[in-house]
Amino acid sequence: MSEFFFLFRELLGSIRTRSASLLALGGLLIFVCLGTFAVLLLVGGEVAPTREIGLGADEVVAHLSPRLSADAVNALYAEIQQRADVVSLAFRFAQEVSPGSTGGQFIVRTTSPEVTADVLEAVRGMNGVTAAEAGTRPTAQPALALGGPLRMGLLGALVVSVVLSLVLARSGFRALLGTFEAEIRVMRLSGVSERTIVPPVVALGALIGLLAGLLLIVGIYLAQVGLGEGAAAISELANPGRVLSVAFAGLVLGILLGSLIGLLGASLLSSREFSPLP
Amino acid sequence: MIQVSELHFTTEDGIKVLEDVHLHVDRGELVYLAGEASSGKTLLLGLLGAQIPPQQGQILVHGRNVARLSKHRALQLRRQIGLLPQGFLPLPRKTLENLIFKLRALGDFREQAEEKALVALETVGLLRQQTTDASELSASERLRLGLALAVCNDPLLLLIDDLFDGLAADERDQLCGLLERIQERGMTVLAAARGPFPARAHAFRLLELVDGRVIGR
Repeated sequence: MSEFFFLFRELLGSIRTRSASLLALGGLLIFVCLGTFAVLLLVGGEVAPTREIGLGADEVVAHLSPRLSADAVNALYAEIQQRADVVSLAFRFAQEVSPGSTGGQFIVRTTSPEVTADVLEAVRGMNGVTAAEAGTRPTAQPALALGGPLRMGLLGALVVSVVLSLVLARSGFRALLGTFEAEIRVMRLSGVSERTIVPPVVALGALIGLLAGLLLIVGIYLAQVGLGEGAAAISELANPGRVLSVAFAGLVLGILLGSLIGLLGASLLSSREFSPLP
Repeated sequence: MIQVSELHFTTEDGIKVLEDVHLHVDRGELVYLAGEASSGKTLLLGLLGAQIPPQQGQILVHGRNVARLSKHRALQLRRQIGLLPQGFLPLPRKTLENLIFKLRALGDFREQAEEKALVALETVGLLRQQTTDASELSASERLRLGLALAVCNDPLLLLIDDLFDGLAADERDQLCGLLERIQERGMTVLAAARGPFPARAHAFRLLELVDGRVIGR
């Protein structure tokens, strides 16, 4: 164990400007990748609509006569749906709302609460509509959600950042091991096993990943504090359990990605330039 | 200590570098191996030092067949062999720190490593240069540092490649004297070099590597 810590310290001591810059950039890209991962999990996709009681201010319910034929209901449906101020229209049987009732209902969603009164007036005047009423509950602000193309873009950014971090970190390790080359030769010549030489290199990668993971946790915390009540708009940011699990998963993923770049760096040790004999 | 028989080695290009090499070195013996450039000295020492796996023939070092050693056993054997390679360049740090690095990488603690390093520097006469930056050492001092690095963990066998590289006649003589002192401490030494050898070297067994074969007994 003492060899590991000694060599790890020596390896850190061999970091120069070039290797430091490349490894830092690699670490930063791991952070970008973890950040993208967190956004995908926390902001998520389409948020499921919450079930709220009562009609919204942009909704109208039209009660239909039970004597209407199916064709007449269809004609009414088409007539309401054709209106430019109507967004959606749904039919349900009156029995779904209260047992024993007859007839049906149209639930009309208007383009905005401002046009609801016009739609209500128009629906009331239609033949076959026995009564109509408008909702009063304020319309809920839509939760922030990622659309399909944005989601795909983020996934693409995630892949690109992983690939770029691997490329940059490999160059960083090449520069670092270049300054540690003589030491590696001495160790190999002296019979120091690969099990002693390789782990500090992998550990350095894991450390970079760990730092990126910790940076992600700080980032999530700052996002939560910065957004304040607005965090509720991003539904999952207001959920402490979800935030904790995403932060922990990000940290683990960071360490894994870091170890992967460490392994990639360690693979350079098999190159001829580190051979102990000329 | 070293027993080599029917050793052959051919490069990837099909060049036969070693051909039917037979060699015997007793425990505690000092043997010089002469050979021109590209005569196969480095390869032979690499094979004896368990750094290069043999292709054909038998190499026994400390009674162990190098060709049949597992990776772990080969590493163990390497720890018992001090090998000073051709064109040795010290680590870019202080003279003493060069030795401490090797000893610590082999598992010694700092105090233990420092103690062993100082003994090795005293053996090669570099004690006064312990705090000197290794890059500031002369060619002769660099070679001595290489020797100190090779013997600091008390190996049983010392292999040296290109012993006289870049040294003047008097420095060659001093180096041979140093090897004699190391041998007197019970270490087996096989030193390969291009000639000419100083007179005191002729008091010891002098072998020659010619056309891939070791000549002399």
